[in-house]
Amino acid sequence: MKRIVVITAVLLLCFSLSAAPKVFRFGYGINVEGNSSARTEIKLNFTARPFSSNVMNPFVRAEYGIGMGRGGFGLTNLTAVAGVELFRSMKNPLGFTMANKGPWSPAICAGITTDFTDSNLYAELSLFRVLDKDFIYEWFTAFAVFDRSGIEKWGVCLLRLTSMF
Amino acid sequence: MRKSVVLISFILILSLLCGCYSTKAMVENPIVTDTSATIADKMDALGFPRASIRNMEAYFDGPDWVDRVMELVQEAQDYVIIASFLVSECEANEQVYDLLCRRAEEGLRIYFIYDSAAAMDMTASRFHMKPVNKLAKSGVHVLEYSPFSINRLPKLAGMLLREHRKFYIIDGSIIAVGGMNLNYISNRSSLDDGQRDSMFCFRSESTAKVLLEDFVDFWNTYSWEEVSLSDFYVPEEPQVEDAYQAWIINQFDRNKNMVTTFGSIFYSAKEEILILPLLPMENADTRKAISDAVQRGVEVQMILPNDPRESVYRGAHYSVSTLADTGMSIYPEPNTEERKNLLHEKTIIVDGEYVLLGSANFNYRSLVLSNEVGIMIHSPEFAEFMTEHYMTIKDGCELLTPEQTKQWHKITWILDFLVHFIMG
Repeated sequence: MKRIVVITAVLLLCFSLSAAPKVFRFGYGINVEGNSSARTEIKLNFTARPFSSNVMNPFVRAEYGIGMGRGGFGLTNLTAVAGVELFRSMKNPLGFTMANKGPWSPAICAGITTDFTDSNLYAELSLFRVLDKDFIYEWFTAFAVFDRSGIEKWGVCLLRLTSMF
Repeated sequence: MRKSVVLISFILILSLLCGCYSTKAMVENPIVTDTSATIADKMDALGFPRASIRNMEAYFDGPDWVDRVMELVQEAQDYVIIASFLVSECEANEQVYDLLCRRAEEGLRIYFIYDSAAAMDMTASRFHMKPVNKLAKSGVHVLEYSPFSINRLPKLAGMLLREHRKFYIIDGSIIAVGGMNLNYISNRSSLDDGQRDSMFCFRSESTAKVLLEDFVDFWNTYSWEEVSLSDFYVPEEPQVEDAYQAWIINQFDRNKNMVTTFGSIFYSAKEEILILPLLPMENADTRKAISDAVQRGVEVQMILPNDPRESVYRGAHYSVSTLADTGMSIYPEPNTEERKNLLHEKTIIVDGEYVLLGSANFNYRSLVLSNEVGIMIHSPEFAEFMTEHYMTIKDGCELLTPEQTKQWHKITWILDFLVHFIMG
């Protein structure tokens, strides 16, 4: 499994050298997050936004990586979500974080998270989310995982950086 | 399963590395390597748009070019588009940035593209640079290409691809291309502590049309302030008898137009190729193209700039020691007081007929790792003018000796060569 992670990382480096398309429909990136189970997780994410629309711009994303903390070191759950942008505004309160002008675009998404034996519902709200044409930057994204009895755990994705191609 | 993953990964990596970063087209593309075809034939066959150029002006000193930029921006009526690799404000060019701000505030549409590497300018400009943030505040539409930022860490390798073009489009009629940036070292006089460089300004609606189409494509790919081609009026081109025939070579988003252009030069030249390069860090394909030209009896000459940056000096001189085997004639600039400033010109003159102008250095980085713009001009008159200029620079340079070649072929200089081969 570690070898696959290494190979994936090498492939990501290669993708990042590929030619820029007119529309950036696919992406990959990294997340760093912490959750209420006292674990810190670093994940690779793969994103697709097939319609590349200016309204809602639906997207799907899958994330997988490694975690550490309570329970020791190991692989994380695989999380797969679908989401939409709530709005886009060029009046961007986070514009100071960007080299070029880009929109503020909060998003919500929901999906499942699984350890391959058990699956739970996953939901997140990404308020601090800004866009370059070829990048998505997200900070302090709040998320929760639900089992049949309610919230199983919650957490904050400190940052998610997604390079689009 | 594991073997399949490794195999697929290997094939993908190989295809990406070989496909995107190979310069094989220079020595293997049948259009490029056809020695019976002229450069004009090849430019047409490769699909480079034709253009007609008139009123050519050449600038070989920073302050003269700054004065001309001031005139161009002051007289612009509708729009100004500027692309530059390194930009920073200093005493030598603050009037240009002030004027751009003032004209934008007056309502002139100004689009300004620069490379994020501007903040890491390693030339003497680093002692004199101020950021150009005021442009955006004044209403200039600014695009910083591929920002260097920790936020863009996932695209780490993509940071190698840089925006190296230097061009101006004014009101769809006046064009300028060349090697000068909008920074201290480009805009100071070469008699002072500026570098020796060139810019070429001309009238050409046909060139404007091509560059505008590419500009709109490029701008909309990276900027949220999208534009439309219909926003940019291009006047009708007058038919002038003494206009120069030219082809526009615009390389961006990895189209490798410079690979086929350089290859076309080496495989079409009949008598002579005169090269003014910067950072001549070449790979095996370029060496083969040069060698093939020499074997056909073509005199391939190059003036080696005396780069004051020590690591670049070592890398370039190591590279040149490997080029000597090709049979080309290399003329290193002497280390004299009047040549202490960097020769930054990028020009190739072929058979006293063709001249390639633009931003591209004669090296691997410009072939595949940078956005570049070039104008291939077919004009014996202009070629003669540029040959005279070349000879002025060559005057006082001695032909590379075998002793120098041996002296520069040092193992300890390989690292400098490798660094600048990629980083430029």
